[in-house]
Amino acid sequence: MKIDKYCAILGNAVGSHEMGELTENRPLATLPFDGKYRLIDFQLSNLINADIHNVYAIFHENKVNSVLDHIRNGREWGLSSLLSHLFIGFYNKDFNSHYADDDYYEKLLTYLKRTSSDYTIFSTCDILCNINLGQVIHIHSASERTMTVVYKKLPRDKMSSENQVLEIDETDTVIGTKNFTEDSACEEETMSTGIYVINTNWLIQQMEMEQAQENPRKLRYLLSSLVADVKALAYEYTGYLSNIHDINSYYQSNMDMLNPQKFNSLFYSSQKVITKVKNEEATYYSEDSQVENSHFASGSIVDGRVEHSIVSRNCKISKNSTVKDSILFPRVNIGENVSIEYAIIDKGVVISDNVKIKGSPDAPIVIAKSRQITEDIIL
Amino acid sequence: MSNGMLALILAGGQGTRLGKLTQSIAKPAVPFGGRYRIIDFALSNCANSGIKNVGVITQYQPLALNEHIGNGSSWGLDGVDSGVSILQPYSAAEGNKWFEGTSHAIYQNIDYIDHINPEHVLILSGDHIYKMDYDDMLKAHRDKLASLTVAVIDVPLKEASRFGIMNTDSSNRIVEFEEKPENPKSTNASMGIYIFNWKELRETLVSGAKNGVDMNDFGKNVIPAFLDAGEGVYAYEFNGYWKDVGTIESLHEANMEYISPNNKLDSRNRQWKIYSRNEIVPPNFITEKAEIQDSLVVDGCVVSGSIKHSILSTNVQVKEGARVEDTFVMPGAIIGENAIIKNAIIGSGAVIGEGTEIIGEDEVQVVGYKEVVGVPSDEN
Repeated sequence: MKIDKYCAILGNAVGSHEMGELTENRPLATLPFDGKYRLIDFQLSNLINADIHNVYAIFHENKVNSVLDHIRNGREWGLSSLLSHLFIGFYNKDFNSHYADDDYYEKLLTYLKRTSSDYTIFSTCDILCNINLGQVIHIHSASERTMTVVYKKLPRDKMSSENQVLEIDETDTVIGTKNFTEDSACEEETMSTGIYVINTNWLIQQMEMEQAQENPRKLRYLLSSLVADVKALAYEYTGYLSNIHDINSYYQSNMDMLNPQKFNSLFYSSQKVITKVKNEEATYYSEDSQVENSHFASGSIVDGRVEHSIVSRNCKISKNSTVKDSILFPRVNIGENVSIEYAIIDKGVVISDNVKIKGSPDAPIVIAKSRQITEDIIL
Repeated sequence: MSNGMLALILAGGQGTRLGKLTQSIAKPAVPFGGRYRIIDFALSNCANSGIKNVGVITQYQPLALNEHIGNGSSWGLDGVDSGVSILQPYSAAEGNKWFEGTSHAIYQNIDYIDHINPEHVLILSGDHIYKMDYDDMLKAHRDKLASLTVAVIDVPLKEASRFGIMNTDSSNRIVEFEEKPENPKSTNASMGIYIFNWKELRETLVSGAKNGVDMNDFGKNVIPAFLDAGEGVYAYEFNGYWKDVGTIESLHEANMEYISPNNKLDSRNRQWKIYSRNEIVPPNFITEKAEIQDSLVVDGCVVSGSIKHSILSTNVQVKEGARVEDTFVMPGAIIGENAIIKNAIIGSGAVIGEGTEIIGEDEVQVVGYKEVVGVPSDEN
């Protein structure tokens, strides 16, 4: 296979998401997932597993620290080797705007023209899945269409107004699109995952046309406006997928990982999910620990009780404390006699002895990064 | 910080005393502590001590070791002026270069060492568990203007006859060396860690070869030769945790001592981390059937059984009803339902069938790599 046949453009997220303090200082792309991953790992791994070694990632320039820290030179994903290319591009137009910076298309077009690739893959980090893109590319190139879009049949309660619904005929062709609305009668919708395979030359033409407009839209809006017009091929993804659009869906998809079937579908399919390597000691469970139905990354010390929760690296859970139905980000330090239920505790939070934190299943409490909690927080 | 010191790790040992565990891999590549292989300790000490060049000398079953070390990037030893070289015997015009002893292995690699051109060489074993700052030892070596510095550790008197004993004067100069003495005069045991001035060591090895004097072994030949020549040979006292894991018992014991977060090795001290080649696997999954007490579990494990005072390495599965106690389980092993395992070492990829009992009464039981014990159920 010619090594530069494919290239990829990786966006952060589609539209505006209600993530509260979780995305105050980080893009959605670097939100932690299941104790040791970040959301971007999934789409990056999808690309690498399909042997795509030429990636352009777009981020908002105010929130790049965590991205650069996590990806560095792309070594873990094999993107730092001689024949691979990883570019990180920035824009500064308002995050929620549909419209692009003046030089947005200039940068993307420069990149695309230099790749000399046949196909471009586009995806965003708010869709969590482990998809065999090699298969999608194969079907796309056999179909002789200009564009293929991946869709997933999802229950309505897993969607948001940012999602696009596709109308697909029996030949797997997209014949129409509509925005998701709350008040439809269907139980299930065919949601576009925002993952596309596109013929590069045709994409360059489309982008040049968009660039010439008065107010060019960002690439993802351009692509979603084209799917029906060009009669894109629709490819159904049948594995585990999580559509992360607010705190609840984020919380729920983490909790999904405690279900062995969903966990297996995402992590133990034929493809590995790659993340940044850390060197931590093994997690220690003491004489007094009581743990059930939970995930732990390495480096933590558990003296307390953990139930149906996800514990990231280097956390400390002291004696007589209970963590239930919660997510702990790395380096959370929990004192003694603490009780935590339905909460998402961000990095480096310190919780003093005897504190109670309690959210509810539909509204988990978020404790922002590095805070010191000395008082009860009860919803 | 460049210190002009090249580290040479002697990783060739077949380690016959580890029995099944080294049938197919070299001793330094044997797993340890859940996430490591034994050689990680020497390599990480090198990296943390600011040593830039490391040669790993091996001639026995090198495959696992080579794959593990790769280009050294796991220890940050892949910089512009640093690197790891794996040194294996090869055929040359003047004959084959097999290694006939610890210092002979150095002699056979003179070309490589000359190419690096270090001022000092640090000789290490690849099979000890410890954290040590070699740069501090180098400072001591320089301060004494020594030709050779030997790291020593204080051992109990009753064990002293198992070691090479270094008898020193009041300035820590070694005046006498006794290999495994019946009646030791002191308890300063050699740790098998030496710093030489390369020029002097080179000369000793080359002239030994030229004049037909046996210079094949550091303990038997080289150190006595330095003492006979009246060179400055000094002891460097190390007083941290140090364990030679050359036997089944000591490997098991070192793993058991490693479990506690406050272990003597100070393993959780982030100022001196131990690095390893990491497999990227999902977090460990502790199901509702599991009970874990006083144990270490690492990523990739799925635990449904009861674990007491044990270590589960990467990707270990412990099925429902199984009981694991005082045991070190190596990567990828599967322990079937209701199996009972006590006081044992379970090799990588071993499969323990349903209801099987492996109980080490007076001595540690060992299940070899990929060994199948009992009747495994047909899943996985």
